[in-house]
Amino acid sequence: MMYIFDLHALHHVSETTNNADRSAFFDCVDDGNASVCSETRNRAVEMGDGTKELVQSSALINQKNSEDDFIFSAGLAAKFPSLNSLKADEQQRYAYIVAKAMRLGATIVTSEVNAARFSIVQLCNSVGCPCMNFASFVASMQKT
Amino acid sequence: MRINPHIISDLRTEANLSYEQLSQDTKISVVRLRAFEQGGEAASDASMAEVNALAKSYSVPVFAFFGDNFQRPNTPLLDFRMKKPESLEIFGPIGRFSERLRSIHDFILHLSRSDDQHTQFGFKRLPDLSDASPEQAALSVVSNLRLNSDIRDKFEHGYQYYNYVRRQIESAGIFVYHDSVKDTEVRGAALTDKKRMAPVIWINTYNQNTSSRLFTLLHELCHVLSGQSGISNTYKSLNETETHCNRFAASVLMPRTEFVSIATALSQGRSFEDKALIRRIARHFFVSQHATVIRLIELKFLQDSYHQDWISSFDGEPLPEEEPGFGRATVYVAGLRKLSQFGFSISLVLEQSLKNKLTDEVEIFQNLGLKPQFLRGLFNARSDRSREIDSKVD
Repeated sequence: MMYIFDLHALHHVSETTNNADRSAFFDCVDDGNASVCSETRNRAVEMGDGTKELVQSSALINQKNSEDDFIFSAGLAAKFPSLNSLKADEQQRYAYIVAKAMRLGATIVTSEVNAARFSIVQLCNSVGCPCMNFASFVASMQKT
Repeated sequence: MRINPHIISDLRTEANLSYEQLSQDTKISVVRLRAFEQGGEAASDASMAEVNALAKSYSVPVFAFFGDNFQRPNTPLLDFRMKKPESLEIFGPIGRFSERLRSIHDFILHLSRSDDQHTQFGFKRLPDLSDASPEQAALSVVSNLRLNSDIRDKFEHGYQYYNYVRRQIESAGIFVYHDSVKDTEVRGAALTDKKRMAPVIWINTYNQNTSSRLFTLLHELCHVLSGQSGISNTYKSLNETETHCNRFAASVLMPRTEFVSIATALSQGRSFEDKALIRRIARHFFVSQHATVIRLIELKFLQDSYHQDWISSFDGEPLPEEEPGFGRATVYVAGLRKLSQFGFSISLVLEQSLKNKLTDEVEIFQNLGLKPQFLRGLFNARSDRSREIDSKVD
């Protein structure tokens, strides 16, 4: 199964001392099933901490946006007006990851705080995009 | 790639822009921009670079050009620089910055989950001053925030006093954010909501020295206390709102009785048009020479016409308040630099929210652009700087 990691999940991997979490992530990368959207990747590089090193050094598949992704994202934004409350670059990041996941049939992995101002989980639920938290991702990797 | 010509045209009309202005900002030729709007072949083969340039210029996501329509949220900011303040135009650097300011305000509002932000973070309460005259409001603020002249005289330098005033204002739950936007016609902005929850003041640090920032800070505080959101140029008051806020700022920083007494004592019979005298008075109150000239005119020490003469005397050279930077950051201290940008209250709210797991480092980075590696330095700098200020005052 293909997984697309959002910024929170990547930051979690770069910061965690939990070996199970790190192993699950790197196993997924080694299997060639871990990918990242170009927008997420750019933001991770801007963050400049361990998250930057992670996206630059690991063999995550970089999913570039295509015209179809833009069209899909525009439709998504029309269905989910709360996206509009975010800054333009954040709107892009959220919309593209969902567009990409739905078009590839991939699952989004996130580790947002429960109190997040804008939740990727809400967005996924509203459009029927598969999405899981990091604990569920680790569990699903352990099963395989 | 195929973009929607109607959206290109709607956004340009909404921003009230000519093709030439848009072309200058996007580096796309006028001919090409016209062709995009007319649809046909040009709209079908727009390059990624062109779409990115348009998105950046209009502060919209790239996908905006690919849907059937695009609805931009209304800006809550008014343009107080106009005779009749109306909604700020969203185009250009200030328009783009207003989006950032809105994001900061929304994020702090989100973190201030309790209805009583004052109890949550231990902020002081300021009385409702929306119906007070500028002088009455100034008296109340001076007493509530301890901005009286006895305290001011304990500071040797303007930047120290500015930090003190800023911290006092922030202790009332008003967030003061510094950022540089290359536009000398905008000195600052205030963003608040009807309940006056998590109000944010932005000080444009571009070519504005400490004394000018101090006046702008008080001017924007007046907007917050009146529940108004908008951008200002403190030295050009074309409407009653701006005049009101300038009088408030002048009354806090240069109280009438003290100003008259100091100005008279320093003049020793000299004309108030003497630039050296204006400089001395300004230095005494830690305000800009420009604000001093306006106060001298207000209190009838100078004729109204002198304001324009004083500006003209610089013959196009930058005015004294338009000096870049604090001139103090010779040693790079990341935490202090972040404190200077984000201020005491944002730092406090972030530290407590992280502790209570109301947010995380990624969300902070997304909303404020503050990288995780600077957070600890910011929190430490806040404690150090607060101790430093307290030791001066107490």
